[in-house]
Amino acid sequence: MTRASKLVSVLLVAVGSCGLLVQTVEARMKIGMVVWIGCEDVCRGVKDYVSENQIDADVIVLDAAQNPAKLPGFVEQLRREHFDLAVTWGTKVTLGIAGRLADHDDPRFLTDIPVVFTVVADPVGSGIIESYELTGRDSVTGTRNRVPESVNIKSMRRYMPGFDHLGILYDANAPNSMLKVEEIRRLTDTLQFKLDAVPLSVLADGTPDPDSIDSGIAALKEKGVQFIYLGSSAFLEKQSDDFTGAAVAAGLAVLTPYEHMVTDSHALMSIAARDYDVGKLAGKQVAKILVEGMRPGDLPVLAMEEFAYLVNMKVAKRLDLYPPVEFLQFVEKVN
Amino acid sequence: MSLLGRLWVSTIAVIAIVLAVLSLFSVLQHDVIFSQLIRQRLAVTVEGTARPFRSVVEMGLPVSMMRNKRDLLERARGTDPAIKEVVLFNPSGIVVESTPARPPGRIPREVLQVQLQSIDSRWSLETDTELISGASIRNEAGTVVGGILAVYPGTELKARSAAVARQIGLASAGLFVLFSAIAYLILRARLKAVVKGLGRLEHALASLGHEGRRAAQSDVSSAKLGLLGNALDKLEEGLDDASRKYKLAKARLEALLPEDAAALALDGARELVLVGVPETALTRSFARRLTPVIAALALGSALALGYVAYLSINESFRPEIVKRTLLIGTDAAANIQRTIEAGVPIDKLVGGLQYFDHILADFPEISYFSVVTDEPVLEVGKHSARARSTRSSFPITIGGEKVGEIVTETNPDYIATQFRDVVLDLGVVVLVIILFAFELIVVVMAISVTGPLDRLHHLVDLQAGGDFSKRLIASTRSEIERLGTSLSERAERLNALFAAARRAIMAGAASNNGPSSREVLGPGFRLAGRRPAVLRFCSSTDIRLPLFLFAMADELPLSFFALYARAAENPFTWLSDGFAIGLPFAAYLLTALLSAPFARPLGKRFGYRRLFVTAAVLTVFAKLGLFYAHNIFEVVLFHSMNGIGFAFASLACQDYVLDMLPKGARSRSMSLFRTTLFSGVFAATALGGILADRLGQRPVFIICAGLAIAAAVLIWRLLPVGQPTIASGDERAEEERLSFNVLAPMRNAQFAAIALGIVIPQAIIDHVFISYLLALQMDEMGRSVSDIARVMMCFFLMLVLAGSLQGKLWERFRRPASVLAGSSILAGVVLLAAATMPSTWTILLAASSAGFALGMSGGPLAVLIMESAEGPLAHLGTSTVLGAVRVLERGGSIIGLLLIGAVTDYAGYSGATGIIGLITLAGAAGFVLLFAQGRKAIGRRNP
Repeated sequence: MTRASKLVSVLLVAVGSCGLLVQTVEARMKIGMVVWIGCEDVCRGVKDYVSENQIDADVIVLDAAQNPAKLPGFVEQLRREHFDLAVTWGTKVTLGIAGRLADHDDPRFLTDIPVVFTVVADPVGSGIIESYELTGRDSVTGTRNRVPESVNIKSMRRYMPGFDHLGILYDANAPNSMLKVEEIRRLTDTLQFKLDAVPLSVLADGTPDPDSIDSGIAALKEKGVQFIYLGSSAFLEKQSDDFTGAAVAAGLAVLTPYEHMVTDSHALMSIAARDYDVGKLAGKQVAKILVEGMRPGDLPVLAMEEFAYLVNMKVAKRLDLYPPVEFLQFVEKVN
Repeated sequence: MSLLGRLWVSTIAVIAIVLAVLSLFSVLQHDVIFSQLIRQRLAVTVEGTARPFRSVVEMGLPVSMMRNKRDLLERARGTDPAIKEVVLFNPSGIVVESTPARPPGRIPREVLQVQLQSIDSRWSLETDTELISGASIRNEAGTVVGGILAVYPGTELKARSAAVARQIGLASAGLFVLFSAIAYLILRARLKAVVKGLGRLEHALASLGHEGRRAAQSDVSSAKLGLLGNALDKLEEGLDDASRKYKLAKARLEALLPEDAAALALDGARELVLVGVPETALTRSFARRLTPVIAALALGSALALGYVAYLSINESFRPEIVKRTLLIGTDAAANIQRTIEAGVPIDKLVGGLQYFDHILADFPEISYFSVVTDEPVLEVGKHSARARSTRSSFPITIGGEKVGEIVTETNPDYIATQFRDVVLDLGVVVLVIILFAFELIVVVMAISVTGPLDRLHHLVDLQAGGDFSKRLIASTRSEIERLGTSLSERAERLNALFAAARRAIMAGAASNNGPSSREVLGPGFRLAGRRPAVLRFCSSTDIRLPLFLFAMADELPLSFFALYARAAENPFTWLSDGFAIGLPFAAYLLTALLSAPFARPLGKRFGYRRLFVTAAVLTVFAKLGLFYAHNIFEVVLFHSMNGIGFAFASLACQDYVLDMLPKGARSRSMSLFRTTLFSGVFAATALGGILADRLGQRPVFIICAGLAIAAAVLIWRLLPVGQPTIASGDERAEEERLSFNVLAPMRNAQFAAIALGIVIPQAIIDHVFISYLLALQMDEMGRSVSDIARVMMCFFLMLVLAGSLQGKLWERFRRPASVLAGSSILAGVVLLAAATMPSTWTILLAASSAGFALGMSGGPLAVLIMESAEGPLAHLGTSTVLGAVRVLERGGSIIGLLLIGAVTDYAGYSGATGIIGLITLAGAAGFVLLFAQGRKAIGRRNP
C-alpha cells in the first residue's frame, strides 16, 4: 500500500467514524415531560423508568408552572425540536398539548408526535379519548391511576359506619374538577349519601382564589358534611397544607386520591397508587412506543394495578376519628 | 387337626381379622380427625388473613390491587413457623401474591376444584404431602373473586399418625395374644363335652366297622349338653339305624357271594351330586353354643381396641383444640396490639365489638372475648363465671409495658360436640367391624363346624334310610370329618360287595342288565354298584360373605356419589346440573331393572358361579371406569354397567339360595339373604364416608373393585361347579318377572291407591331423597362425607328396626292401610320440616323417620299387594301384578330422579326435599281416598 493510499484510508476511516458519531448523537431520542407544577414523583418515575430500562432517550422537563399560556409554546417547541414523544401530567396540561378528540386536525395541538398522558382524572369524560380500551386517537395513549369513585365512598363508610353526607370543594374553571363533581353526584342514589359541592372563588385571571379555601371549608361544615373528598383539583393538591389544615381545624376529615396529601399534609385518608409508580407506568407506555415501535392508538390506557389505603393517625387523633379495628388490619399508617 | 384346634384357629383368625381391620380403620379415622384438626388450626390463620381482603373487596377493589398484600401474607405466615406457604390467588387460580415468593403460576387444579365445590367460604384438603386450608373471598354479590390458602407440610400429621399406628399396632398384638388365650380356654371348656360326645360316636362307629357291637355308652351325659346333647342323641339314633342297615345289607350281600369271592375294587369317575341342606337341629344347637362365644371374643377384642383407639384419638384431639383456641386468642391479641400501636387508645377501640363478633361467628370454639385494662373495656359473647379452666389471657403491651389484656373463654359445648363426633365416627367403625365379624363368624363356623355337621347328618340320614349310594370327601381330620369318612367307607364297602354280588348273579344270567339293589337286597336299600357319588353341599352360608363383600363394593360410594357426579364435567351444556347429577342414578336403576329378567336364564345356562363372577368382573370394570371418569357421560356409562353387575350378582345369589336349597329352607334362607345384603349396604355406607374423607373419593372406587374381586374369588371357591339343579318348582320366576302392562292393574282403585299413593312416593324417598338429595343438601351445609354417611346409616338402621318392630306388632295390629297411610304422612311431614328448616338435625330426623316409615311399610305393603293380586286382580295373575309393582317402583324412582334433579336447579336442594315431602303427603291423601273407594266397591260387589 502506498503512502497516499494509506492516507486516503485513514481519512476515510476518520470521516466514517465522525459520521457514525453524528448519527449516534442524532439517534438519541427526546422525550418531553410536560408538567404543571414542577417535576414531582410522577415525573421522577418516568425518568427513572427510562433510565433503568436503558431507553436511548433524554427526558426533558417542560414545566408550565401553573401557567396555561405556556402550553402552546411547548407544542411549538416539541415540534420544532423534533421530540419523539411527549408525556403530559394532569388534565389541563394534556388538554393544552394533545387537545380533545375533536381537535385531531387542529395544528395548535400535537397530532404528529406520540403523547402519553398521566394523572388525568377522567380522560374519557374530558373528551381526550374515546375509551380506556381504544383511545380513538392515533397518537395518544396514557395511564389511569385512580380507583373507581364508588370505592372511595364505600371506604368512607367503612371508616365511618354512619357516613351519609359528603362535601366537595371544587374548581369551577377546571373541567376535570367539574367532571368529578358530576361523577360523584351520579353515585348519590345508588350509594345513598348526600353530596354538597362548594365552588372555590375565582381570581381575575380565572385561577381559584387560595383565600376561598377557608370559606369553602366553613360552608361545607355548615352544611353538615362528615367527610370532604378532594375529587380532582390540581389547585387544591398544590394548596394541600392550607386545604387539609383548614379541614382538620374545622373538624372535618379529608379523603384524597393523592398519597402525598396524607403523608405530607393533613388529609386523613387516601386510596391511591404511589405517584412514583404512576410515573413508572407511564414509562412503560413510553417504552412500548419508542422501543417496541407500537402505535399509541393501538395501546389501551394502562391502569395502575396496586393501590393502598393510607391513614394519617395524627390527623385521626386530632379529629378523634380513629379507624375501626378491622380497617387497621390492612391500611398503611402514617404517624 | 382336632375339632378344638380347628375351631380355635378359626376363632383366632376371626379375632386377627377383626383387630387388623379395626386397627387399620382406627388409624385412618385418627388421621382423618387429626388432619381436620390441623387444617382447622390452619384455618384460623387463613380466616384472619382473608378478613382484610374481604373488607377491601367489599369496598370495590380487586384483591390484586392491594399494595400491601404481601405484607399481610407475611404477617399470616409469621403466626405459625410451621406454615410453609401462604398464597393469594384470583378466581382463575392464578397466583396473585405468595410468601415465600414463587414464580408466576397457578394453584393446583384440585385445590381450585375444592374451592369451587365448597359452598362455605372455608374449605380445606389434604394432598399426599401437604395439608391445605383455604378461605374464599367473595364480593358483595356473593361471587368468589379470589382466595387465600395456607399450606402445612404433612410431616406433623405423618409423625403423629405413625405414633398412633405404633400404639394401636402394639395394642392389637397384645389383645390378639390375650384373646387367643381366652378363646382357647373358653372353647376347650365349651367343646370338652361335645368332643367327647363325637368321640363316643366315632368309637361306636369304629367298633361297628369292625363288626363288633356298639360300644357301651360313654360317661358323657347328653343331659350336660342340653339341646346339643339332644341333637347328638338324634344323630346317634341315626347312626344306629344306619349301622343296622349297613349290617343287614352287608350280611345279605355276603350271603350272595361264594365263599372265596372278594369285594370288587371299584374304579371309574365319581358322580357329583349337588345337595341343598338346610340347617339341622344339631347344627343350630352347635352354632348357638359356639357363635355367642366367638362373637363375644370378637366383640370384646374390637371394643378393647376401640377403647385404645379412643384414647389415642383423645391424645391427639385435646392438645390440638387447645392449640387452636390459643391461636385464635393470639391472633386477636395481635390485631388489637396493632391497633393500639397505631395510636388508638385501648378504651376507644372503634369497631371492636363488630371485630370480636366476627371472630365469634367464625370460630364457635370461643364463647367469650374481652379487652381488659383495670376493668373490661369491651366484652363480647357469653361470659361464664365458672369457666376458669377454659379461660386464657393474652397481654397487650406498648413499649414492653403491659397496658391491658385480651381474655378468651373456650366454648365447652362446642368442644363436647366436636368430641362427640369423634366418638360417633369411631363407634361407626366398631359397629361396621362387628357386622363384618359376624359374617366372618358365620362362614368360619360353617367351614369348621356346622357345615361338616350338616354333611354328616345328611349322610347319616341317607344311610339310615338304606341309601349307600353317596359318600363324603373329607377335607380335614376333625372328629366330625372322621365320622363322615367312616360312614363313606361303609358305603364304598357295600357298593364293592354289591358290584361283586351282582357280577356273581349275572354270571349265570343271559341279560347284560344287572339286578338293582332293590332286587338284590329288597326294598329300603339303595346301592349303585359303582363308586358312590360324592355329595357336594349347597347352603345359604356359601353366598353370605361374598354377598356381603359385593354389597359393600356396590354401595361403598353411596354417601358421596351424588357429590362425585356433581364434580364431573358436564360437556352437555344444555343439561341442567341437577338433571345431570340424577342421570347416573337413573341409569343404574334402569339397567338393573332391565337386566334383572335375564339373570335367571343366564344363571340356568351358565351356572350361578359363572354369573356371579361375570357380574363381579362387570362391577370391577365399572368401578375402575368410575375411578377414571371425568365427565358425566362417563359416570353415567360406568354406573349403568354397575347396575347390571349388581342385578346379576344379587340375583345369582338369590337364585342360588332359592334353587339349591330345599323348599322348606327357603323362607329362612331368603331372610338371611336380605339381611346379608342389607348388612353389606349398611356397612358400606358408613365406611365409604370415612374412606372418602380420608383417602379422597376416587380411591374408594379402587377399594370397591378390590372388594368385588374378593367376592368373586370367594364365590368361585365356595359355590359348586356346574349348572344348578332345580330342586323345586319354578314359582320364584314369578317374583322377578317384569310386567310393563301397568295400566291393567291400575284400573283397580285399591291397586292404584297402593301404587300411586305409597309405592312410588316411597321409592322416590329411597332413591331420590336418600341416595341423591341428602348428600347434596348436607354438603351445601358444609358437612363432611362422614357426616353424610352417618345420616344415611341412620336411615338404613331405622329401616331394619322398624321392619322388625312392624313384624312384632303385626299380630296385634293388623291394619295395613292405616300403617301405610301413617308411615307416609310421617315421612312427608319430616321431609317438609327438613325442607323448611334445613339443618343437620332436621335432615337426620328426616332420614331416620323416612327409614322408620319405609321399614314399617314393607310388610303391610306386601299384604295389600298380595290381597289385590289374589282378589280383584286375580284374573291378571299374581306375576303380572307383582311385575307391574316392580316396574312402577323402579320407573317411579327413575322419573322422580330426573324430575327432582331438574327441579333442584330452580328450587335448590331443600326445595326439592320439600317437593318430595309434598309428593309423599299427596300420595298418602290419594291412597286414603282411593283405597276407601276401592273398599266400597268391593263392599258393593260383595254385600
